[in-house]
Amino acid sequence: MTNSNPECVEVSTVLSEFALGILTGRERSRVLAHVALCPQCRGELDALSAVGDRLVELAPRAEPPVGFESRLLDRYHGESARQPVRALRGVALVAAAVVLVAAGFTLGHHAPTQRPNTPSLSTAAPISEALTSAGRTLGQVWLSAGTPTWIYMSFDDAGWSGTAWCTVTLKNGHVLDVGVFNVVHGYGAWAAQVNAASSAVRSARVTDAKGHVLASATVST
Amino acid sequence: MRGALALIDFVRRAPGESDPWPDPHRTIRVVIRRRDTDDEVSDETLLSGIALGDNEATLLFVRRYQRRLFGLALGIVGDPGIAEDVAQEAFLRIFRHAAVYDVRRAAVSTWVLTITRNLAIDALRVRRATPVAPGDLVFVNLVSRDTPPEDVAANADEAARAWTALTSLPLDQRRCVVLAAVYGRTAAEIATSESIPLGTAKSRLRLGMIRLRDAVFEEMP
Repeated sequence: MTNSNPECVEVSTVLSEFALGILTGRERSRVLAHVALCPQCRGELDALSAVGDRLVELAPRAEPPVGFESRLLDRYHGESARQPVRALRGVALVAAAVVLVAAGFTLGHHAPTQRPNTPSLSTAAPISEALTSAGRTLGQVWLSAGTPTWIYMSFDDAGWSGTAWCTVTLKNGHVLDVGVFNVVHGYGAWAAQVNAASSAVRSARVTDAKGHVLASATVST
Repeated sequence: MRGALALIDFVRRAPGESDPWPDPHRTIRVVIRRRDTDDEVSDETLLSGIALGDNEATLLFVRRYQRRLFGLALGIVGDPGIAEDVAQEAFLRIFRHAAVYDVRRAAVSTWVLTITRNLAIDALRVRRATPVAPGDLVFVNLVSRDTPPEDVAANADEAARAWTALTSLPLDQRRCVVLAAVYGRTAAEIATSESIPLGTAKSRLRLGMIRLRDAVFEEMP
């Protein structure tokens, strides 16, 4: 944490207050400016912030009033009805979740430090298409909104096991390799980033090592 | 993948490890495993489901966290009606921002409790022009004794250790730390409510936090 640097010593006197979010005005600005350049004090700040988080977690639990859950869900569904989201079901929900969380995970690397409840990414619904073979649905494909897009695929009850290859074809005719993955007992799921906009993707397909097409999906948008 | 929600793990590969994704695709591998009980569904998976409008994930999340959120809100505002408003608003914010939750920044529990704490402090400040005496604050009273709350004692994990660290502090430091960390009181407000000079309030707060930091991080493996 602090060393003999006079600025570090000065900042250390208010670092706890900063970590707990109760420092304001000029003092807060001074700490912010200092920790941006001082790794030692930034480390100390992280440790003190973690202590603050643990203290909040010590709050005793309490049973909410009867009807809390239904009142909450009524409010939530009322909001959702005003802001309709694309309907997704079953495996589709979890699959798309992977894309969204993965996108947040990666993009977050470059995001500036924010308070935990501050949104930073687009929440646009992913594009969803069925992965089919000879008219039979074998899985799902998801493309997250934006550039680059994230692709997620899932095989479910495909009746096939082995190493599969995934490619996407863009609307301009270019074919991009997405990756190689394993299908075990007819099931597999994977995700990867594709260097293209979701709107530029025309189709996706899965082949075996010999290039036989196991399943494909055409993006309708 | 049908039925109960799946657990989604994101595994970042170590440098040098064999990478199935050709450049420039990102190296996030997704493993989806079936789980027998909903208790094993991670918080992160539930948030992903919520982001996509999954009612099952939403309900499960509410049931998992409602006692903690309501308990924290009640501990801060001291009024069950206001606490319900705060907890409901906290849940709604969590639902709205579920898609942008960043797993690297904080644990889900930390994120949701921070949202709740901030809303509760705002509610307290808006509704009460005069700060409540610390003697009337539930959490301050709790930490003024040496026995942990029932929930904390039952857990016997990190929370219990944090409680032990907290109660090892002198009572005056304990109160200052909790007033700041849980109730968002500034050093000046603490000085007023505790009838002590500002310098003393700041000093108690800083010493208390440093001792807690030492205790908490010494225990970490």
